[in-house]
Amino acid sequence: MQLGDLSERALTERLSRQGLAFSIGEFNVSLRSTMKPVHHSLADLYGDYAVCSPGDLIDFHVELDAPGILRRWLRPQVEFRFDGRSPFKPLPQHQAFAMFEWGLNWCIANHAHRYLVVHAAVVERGGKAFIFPGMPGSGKSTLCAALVCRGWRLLSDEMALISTERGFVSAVPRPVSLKNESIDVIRRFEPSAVFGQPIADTAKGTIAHMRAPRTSVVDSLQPATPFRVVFPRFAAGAVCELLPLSRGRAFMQVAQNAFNYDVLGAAGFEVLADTVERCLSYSLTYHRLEDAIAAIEGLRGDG
Amino acid sequence: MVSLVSATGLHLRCWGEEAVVFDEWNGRTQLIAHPADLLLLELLKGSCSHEELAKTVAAAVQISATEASEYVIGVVKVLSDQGLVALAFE
Repeated sequence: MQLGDLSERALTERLSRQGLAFSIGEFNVSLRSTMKPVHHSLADLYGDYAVCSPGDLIDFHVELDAPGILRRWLRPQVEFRFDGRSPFKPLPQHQAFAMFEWGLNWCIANHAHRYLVVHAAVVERGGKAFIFPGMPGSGKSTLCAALVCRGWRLLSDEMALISTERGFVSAVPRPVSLKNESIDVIRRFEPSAVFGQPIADTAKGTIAHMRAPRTSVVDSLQPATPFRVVFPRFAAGAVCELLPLSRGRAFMQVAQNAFNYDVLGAAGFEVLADTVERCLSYSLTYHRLEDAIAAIEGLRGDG
Repeated sequence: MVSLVSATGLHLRCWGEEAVVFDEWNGRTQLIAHPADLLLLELLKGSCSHEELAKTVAAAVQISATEASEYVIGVVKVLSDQGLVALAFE
């Protein structure tokens, strides 16, 4: 059963009472929240995700609710709770769904140590994974959204999960988080893309989540082999430029973008070295998405 | 003599003109330029004198013995500052 198969009433009841557990790639997440905007966003953006069966092991137990009784009415806030703990300060209540997404990123980055977790978008075609590491503002999510709208499989817009044992990249396809101008850029680029409600006034500005393609969600247990590492950089007015990057420099840059490289020690070094050895790496400066996509497409048959 | 601070915990990956080295002892990762990687590979076999290291470098990159010796002195100093190698009086 998928989330979209639940009636609005059933979805609301399960989220509000015992919590609703669903699968995102290899992770099972249980979410409990009485907040209507969370229910609506989940219905809009997570309809294709499989509901867990009773007895399935849950990786992350998450709750989103007001931090105290007063905060339900007076300047309403939302608190993210993970396994009963509150790792973050509460946020204004209208940011509840964004907080769920950010909190889930935190859960994975801090607990999924069977992977080297790199701050990167990942897409795949023909079994070959393209990894786009980058800091916020580099344009990786926008480029990722555009590639996904052109038929690439979404593995993640936020984190590359590279298995320390087998070296492949696991998928954790979730709604693509777009910020500010990028929202309209992708709306214009692909008018049929489905978005959740924009969330204004967050620490990152206005955020809107683009629904992950159904095929990416359905194929989310299918890993992909790292093939290219591309460091994107959006620069207004820039001519599209794709330049090769040495393995040593690519290694150091990916390590800087990894959440748990230091935690993994030698295992992190070895899996990253294997990944960089297997891939060719590039830096990509772009302004127009069509140019960037053409440059990426050109790397598919290369090697 | 020059020796590695932690031979058993040193991980090295060489790619042409560059190499990356991870030291389990201090958790640091560093990017080094060829032929510094050759020095580390030689030291993984055991302690060496500056002269032995200079011979390795001279043979690999075809420079004079004097140039190789100067190079080794400089690189060993850098690797020592990075905590990768230790020096002992010969």
